[in-house]
Amino acid sequence: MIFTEKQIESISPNPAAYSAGKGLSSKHKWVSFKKNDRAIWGEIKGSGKNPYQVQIDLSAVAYKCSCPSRQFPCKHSIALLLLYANSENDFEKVTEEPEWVKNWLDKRQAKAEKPEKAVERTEEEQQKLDKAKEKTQVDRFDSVCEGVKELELWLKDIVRMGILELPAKPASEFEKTAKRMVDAKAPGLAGWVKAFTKLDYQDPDAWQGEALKIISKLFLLVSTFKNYDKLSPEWQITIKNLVGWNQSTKDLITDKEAMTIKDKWLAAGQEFEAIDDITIQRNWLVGCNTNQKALILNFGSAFSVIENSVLPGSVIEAEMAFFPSVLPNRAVIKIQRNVNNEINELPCFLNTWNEAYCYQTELLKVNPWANDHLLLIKDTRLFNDGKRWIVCDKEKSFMYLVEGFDYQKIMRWLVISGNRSQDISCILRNNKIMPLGIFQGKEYIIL
Amino acid sequence: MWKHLLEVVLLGTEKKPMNQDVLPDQIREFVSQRHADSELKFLETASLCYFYIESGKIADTFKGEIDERLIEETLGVVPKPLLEIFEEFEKIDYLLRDNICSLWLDSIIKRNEIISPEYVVRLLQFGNNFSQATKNKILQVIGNKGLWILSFMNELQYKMPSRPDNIWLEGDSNQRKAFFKSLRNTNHIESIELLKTTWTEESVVTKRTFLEIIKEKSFSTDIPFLEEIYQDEFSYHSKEKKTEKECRRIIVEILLSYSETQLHKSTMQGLSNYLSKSKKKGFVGLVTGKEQFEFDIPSEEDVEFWNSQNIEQKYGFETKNYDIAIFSSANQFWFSCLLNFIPMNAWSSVSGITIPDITAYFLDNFKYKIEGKIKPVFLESLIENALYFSSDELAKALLPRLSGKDIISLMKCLKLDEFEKYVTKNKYCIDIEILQNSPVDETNISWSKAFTEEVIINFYEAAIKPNFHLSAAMGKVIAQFAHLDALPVLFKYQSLAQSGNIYQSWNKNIFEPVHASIKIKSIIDSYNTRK
Repeated sequence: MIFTEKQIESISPNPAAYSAGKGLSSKHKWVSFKKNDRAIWGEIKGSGKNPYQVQIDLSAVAYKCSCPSRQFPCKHSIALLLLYANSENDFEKVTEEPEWVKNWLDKRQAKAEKPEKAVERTEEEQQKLDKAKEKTQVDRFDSVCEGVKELELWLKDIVRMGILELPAKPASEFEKTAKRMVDAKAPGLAGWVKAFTKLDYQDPDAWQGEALKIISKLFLLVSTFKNYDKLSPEWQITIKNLVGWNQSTKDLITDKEAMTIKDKWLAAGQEFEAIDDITIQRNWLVGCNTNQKALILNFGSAFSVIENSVLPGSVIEAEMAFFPSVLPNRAVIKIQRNVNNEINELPCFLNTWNEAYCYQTELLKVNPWANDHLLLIKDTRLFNDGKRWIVCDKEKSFMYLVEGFDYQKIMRWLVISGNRSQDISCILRNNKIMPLGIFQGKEYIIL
Repeated sequence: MWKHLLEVVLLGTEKKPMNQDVLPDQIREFVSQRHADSELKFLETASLCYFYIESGKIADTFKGEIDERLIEETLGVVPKPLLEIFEEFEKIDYLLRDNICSLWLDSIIKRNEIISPEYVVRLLQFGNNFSQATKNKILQVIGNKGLWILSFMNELQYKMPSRPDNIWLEGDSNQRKAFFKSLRNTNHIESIELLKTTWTEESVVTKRTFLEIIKEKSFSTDIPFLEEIYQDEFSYHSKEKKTEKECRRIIVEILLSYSETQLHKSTMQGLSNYLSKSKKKGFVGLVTGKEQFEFDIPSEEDVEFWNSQNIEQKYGFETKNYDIAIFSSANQFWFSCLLNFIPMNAWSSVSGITIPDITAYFLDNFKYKIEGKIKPVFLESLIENALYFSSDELAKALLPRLSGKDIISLMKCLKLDEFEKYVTKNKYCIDIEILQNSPVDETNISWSKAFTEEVIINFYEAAIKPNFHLSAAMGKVIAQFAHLDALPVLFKYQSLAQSGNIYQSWNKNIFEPVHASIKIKSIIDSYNTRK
């Protein structure tokens, strides 16, 4: 697969790393650079005694470098990708990889084919473990119940006193309540509470309606949790996730019962969001044959880098495992077979924004808290109505862009389209859209 | 319904109870059978109403007119390798970017092609701080789509091209000035014809501006127009304005520079009366038979030529306020004004001696003393003359007598091979101010291979000496003028640097920028030479 500069830029951990990688992407900087069907690899002189060994798995896009950098991918991996993107023909093609590449690739392949075996335990050990686990679960559930009760009371107080007081409240007051939710082991609820601190209190038209929306959705969540025992297993899992129970990727991959779908997945777009000290990377994908939507989340912090394995705009041939939910959406790549930039089969498109709203309603029926819907929509045109940028469909219905949408991407859309209507992919978020890319025939251009 | 709920929640249920009548029937019936607690009732109602509204949402319709005009391209896109050079620009030092990007743009413009739309936004942002000339080139390669989006990118400082007739008739003074300047470069005959169409309606200040532009780069085809306005509109009259006099002076300066003009001829005729030739005195005159040239500038005004009336009315020069520290008389000052614009070959032919000799005569025979130092009176005029006429012969005659800033300014007057010889002979190979003034032009954009190699070697040898520090500006100047075939020597000294302790500095300041620049220029060159 040949990567585009845009894709490489998008997987770089930060602009500085990309820029440093770019500076190292000239041929003369490399001691050697080679390729075969499985991988590309090279050696580059760094500050160490020996050249750094850089290797990139082409079938499942993964990087490894012997440099001590904590960034991932490091500037050397970015440089090798850029070199490959711009001078693929200059890479010497060999059939056999050197030992250091072969070992890494074989290890990766073995890991992909045979997931880690569960630790073997005696029956007694297992029982003990299950019991301990159950006790932890019960304790946590009780703790969350207490938190939910407290939150319901807090919501009641707010509606009794009126939200006109909210702008005058210091952020610390919301943070205090959020902290109590974290202490009650319900970090999901804490996130809802913190949402009050992010409202734009300078704009009464915006914050008042938004505050009532948060209150409404949060109350429904609290009420549903109170009915936990009456819910179906899928609903129980869904509600637990919303309240703050984590889902284990490792368990999902080993779970034989988990929903899996094999397809060629178009990585339609990517977004980063920093919440406190954690960076969340959202990757939206759509199955070209099944039309199934998938969301791959990666997390990073000051101590752990985001493992960037999804190249926006690429088509990943893979088996995807979905976390159990009433509306399965969040997924992980279970087995990846190939990655390229060719779309052979286009997924299904919606025709108008009203169809998009109907689609959203169908999803809300299944899961009222579902948000960020990946949409593929036909014949849209971006223009400025004199005040704001809007996206019109062929029936002249329109959507606003999400707040703070990157201005460069707007310009990129305009110059690529030349004012021609375009088939696009976008995220429908709070009744506004965040465009991700443009389809031109079977070519997909990331914005 | 939502509005009512918002009103309730703003004030609080304690102050404003919820009115269930505004709710849809199904929700009203449902909540009426639920909680007695007014807060819980409100919260549940709000939740239901929120999802009720969300589920029934339809998109707004745009009521205005949508601009459906398609933006099409008429030119083809440049080949990918030439396009991808753009990616290299970010790797090179910002000091070099404008220059190299400009070469790249020239190549695309020459091919009559445009860049692919995906590069347009980046190029526009990349070039936002470039010189106006490079920005104008960018506008030529971004196609119609690029020009279209530029109208939305208000934060960028590009001047959108307008139709020429619009600029000339409706543009502001800066736009008209820029347009006239660019037309002078591309079609100087047309520029005069265009100027004539509006000349009578222009203010005298605007006329002075256009005359100054003509003076910057004049052509013999300008003469008829200039002679006409010199004799008519700007001939002396007693109540003339200061600006009119200035216009006359500018015209005079241009006309004096052409030997075929009436003014030049009459001036030389007038000056020849003050010229005398005699056999050189003493032994030298006896042996060589050489004539001695003398030019007598009277110390007092006379009736024939050197009088303020003649000078003001004919030439428009200042008759007062000259620098008495330099010029011993007004006549000497007026002569310096004439010396600025009369070409040296005219002096040579009237005196019968060579340009170097007449230069030496003017420098050695008219001197003044300031702060204890003796200086030639006409040095500035001769430097001005060399620069105005780009006279390499005069520059060569002046250079041995100059130092510092004056040398640098004259470098541009030399031919490239003379410049290289001069720099080598005088050991200026690592003087970046001199090197920056290399006399390259559109046809000769780089130094010779041998000179490039010499500069690289000289910098390396200087760098390995103690107390010499390489700087980015040094790399920039080599990168700007380096010959494309100088890479082997660059690599040779790079490997030598690797074994020494200057590697980091050499690599960063010299090797990297020069290598990147040569690489980019080579690709551009290969496309320029292709048919």
